[in-house]
Amino acid sequence: MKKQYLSILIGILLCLMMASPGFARDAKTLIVIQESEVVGLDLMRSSLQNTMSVCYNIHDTLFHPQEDASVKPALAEKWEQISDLAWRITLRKGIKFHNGEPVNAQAVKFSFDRIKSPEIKSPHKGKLSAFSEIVVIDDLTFEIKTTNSFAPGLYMLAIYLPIVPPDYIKEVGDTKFNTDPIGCGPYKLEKWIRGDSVILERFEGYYASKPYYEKVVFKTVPEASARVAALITEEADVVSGIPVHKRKSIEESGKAYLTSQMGVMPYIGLNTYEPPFDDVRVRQAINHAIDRELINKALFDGKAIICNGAISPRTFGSAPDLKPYAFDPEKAKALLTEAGHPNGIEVRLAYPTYMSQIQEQAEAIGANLAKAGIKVTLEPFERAVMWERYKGKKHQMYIYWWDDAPEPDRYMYSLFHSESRDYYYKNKSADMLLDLGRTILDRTDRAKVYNKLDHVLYEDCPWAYLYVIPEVFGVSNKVAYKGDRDGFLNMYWAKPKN
Amino acid sequence: MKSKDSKSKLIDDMFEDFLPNIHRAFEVLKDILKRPSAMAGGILLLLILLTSVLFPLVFHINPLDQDLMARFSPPVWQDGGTWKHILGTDNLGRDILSRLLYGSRVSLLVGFSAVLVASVAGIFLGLVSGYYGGKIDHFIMRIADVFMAYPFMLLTISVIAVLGPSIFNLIIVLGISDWVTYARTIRGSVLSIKTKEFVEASRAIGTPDLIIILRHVLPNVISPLIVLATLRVANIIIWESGLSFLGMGTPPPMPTWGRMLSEGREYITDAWWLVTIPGLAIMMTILSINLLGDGLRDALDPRLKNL
Repeated sequence: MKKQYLSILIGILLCLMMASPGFARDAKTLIVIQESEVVGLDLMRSSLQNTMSVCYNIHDTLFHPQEDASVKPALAEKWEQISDLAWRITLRKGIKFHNGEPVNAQAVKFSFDRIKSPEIKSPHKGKLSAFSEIVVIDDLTFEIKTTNSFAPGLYMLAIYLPIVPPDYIKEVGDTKFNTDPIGCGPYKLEKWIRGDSVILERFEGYYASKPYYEKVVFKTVPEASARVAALITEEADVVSGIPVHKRKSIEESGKAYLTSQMGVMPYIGLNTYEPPFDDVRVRQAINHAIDRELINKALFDGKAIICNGAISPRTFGSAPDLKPYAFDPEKAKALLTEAGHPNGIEVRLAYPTYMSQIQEQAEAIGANLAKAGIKVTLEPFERAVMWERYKGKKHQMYIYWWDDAPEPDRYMYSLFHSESRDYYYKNKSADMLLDLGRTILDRTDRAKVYNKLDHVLYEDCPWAYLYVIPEVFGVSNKVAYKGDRDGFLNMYWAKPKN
Repeated sequence: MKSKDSKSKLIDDMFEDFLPNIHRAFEVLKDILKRPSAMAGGILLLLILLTSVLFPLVFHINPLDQDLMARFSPPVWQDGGTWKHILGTDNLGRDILSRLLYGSRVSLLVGFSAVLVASVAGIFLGLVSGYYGGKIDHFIMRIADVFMAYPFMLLTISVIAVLGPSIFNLIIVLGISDWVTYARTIRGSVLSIKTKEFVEASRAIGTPDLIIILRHVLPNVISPLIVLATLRVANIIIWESGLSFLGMGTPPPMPTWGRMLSEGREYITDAWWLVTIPGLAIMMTILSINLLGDGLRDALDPRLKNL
């Protein structure tokens, strides 16, 4: 008899264990699902998108970055440019970290010195390399100096310089700070359950209006279809990493909607140092041979934005008067003949295998090029091999991508300045314009410089320009949230829909 | 003069042996015909082989022709399917039936060729190792041990990564990784055969080693090998699909069953036919080969009949 009771008891316990929900769902809790787990919670030490997304809820920066690459006040209340090489910035009064430490000029200086220090090995250090030092003026005022004038400066600070508490870090050390961070953002860390979730709690002492949700839970689901299912069954409120072919099912479900965030801008780089691509006519022929409209319609449901040059149409400085290269196989053939290839050419097209939909893009482009007499051999490479060959100048044509950040300097300098990358292309006037673009401080003048750069690259075709594929977040119909162009999930902005 | 005589005699003898061999083959065939499962396997395999060789006579759709606006068109029996694409189209609007048929050529070619490479190498090394014994035997078997100790997939993937993916490389790599099985099987049989009286007698009257091996040893160890080779073909086809699935097989856009699986995987919930159809093709082929192989084993080795 006793044994029977025991087994019944065990049975009941098992049922209870299986039935217990992972998290109590109430209207004041927001559940966010991402593709990969966070690696740490110190924003200075990670450049992974999913990790940074969680971090921005805990940490705050001096400014809010805007869609047009300008900034709005956050921790900083006002600022002025006191010379070409320095800004004077004043902080808001009375801001506190989660542990009560004051956010003051000393804390900003400490944060700046920390991200620059070699011990931290911050991946964002390079983005702030133009800044030389911070001078504290008084408790709330400081000056930040650059070695050369640096136009995107405030925008870079807005994204890459989180303000961290000096006393707390000195007390617990860098390692503990990575697991138990203290910030001055809208949420503070309640618990990080490794392999499961990060639970954030609303910070009641936040300096601006408080966020609506009292709790935010970040969970990880690697499989795309499972993430989408969680959104549709209302197990999640916000979901990132939604493949293009799943978007329709979300829109049709009636349970959730999509909001766009950053865009992925793939491109085909051409090796301009070696034949046949040392001839600009051959490079233009490639551009004329790709049917971007058709690929957009078929592979991306028409949601992609066709590129009219190297600068994304959504980025500040892109030349609006440029028309995308028209799909015209006959013109491509004529250009090839003019360049001395009446019978077409044979080329190799390399691409990394880890990006979604990359294989079908490569095959579709290959079929396009074949119509213009360009015979393509596809070369799929694994991530590391692709990168090694890229740096070793071994590719002839290669597909890579960048996100289309609002600030042109963020990717154009990295990709086209010969001091950054000269693996496949070098152009003195592009170098000059890029240098000018980062040093001219007036916005209208800057726009003109980047317009000019866009024109130069359009004519010279170091790439075959493709399209920008907007990434989206899926958001439950109960929640109002608009995705940001930087692609980070800052839940401060999430509110109930009604 | 003397050696020439013995050579021509060998050829004569082989012709004499030819008739009884044919007779024996018929015996095996009759035996198989009595087993329904083996017969079904054989017929199915024959059908698959004939289709993959002869289909261009009646079927003219290019497996590489893309029609992007007609992507994900379902098979003909489903809503929205057309007779133009009987089994539907894939993620780039290519005809699945056509890709399946061309893919069968790659799978079967790689399967049979790799087995040929492996068995020729395996038979040669197994015969030498078993017949001569001693240091040669040790040497060959230790190499075999090294191969056995090395994870097969890792070996193939690293070799393909270095040489680059192509059908030829695939055949060579799969063949070379698989010779050990044959060599060990053969060596075992040779060890028992070479102590038999007729081999001893032949050696006693001074017959050269080569002739003893070819005339007396090989014919007596070949039957387990035929069974083994048949079953290995199935394995190799699966490995080829696996490598293609991982992107290590033949280079795109050439269609193979493994690649069709891997390309369709992303769309498994939206378009079931992308993965189901090549999956079924792999399954049917493997099943037919295995049924036939089992039948052959029973027919060739009467001792196993009741197992």
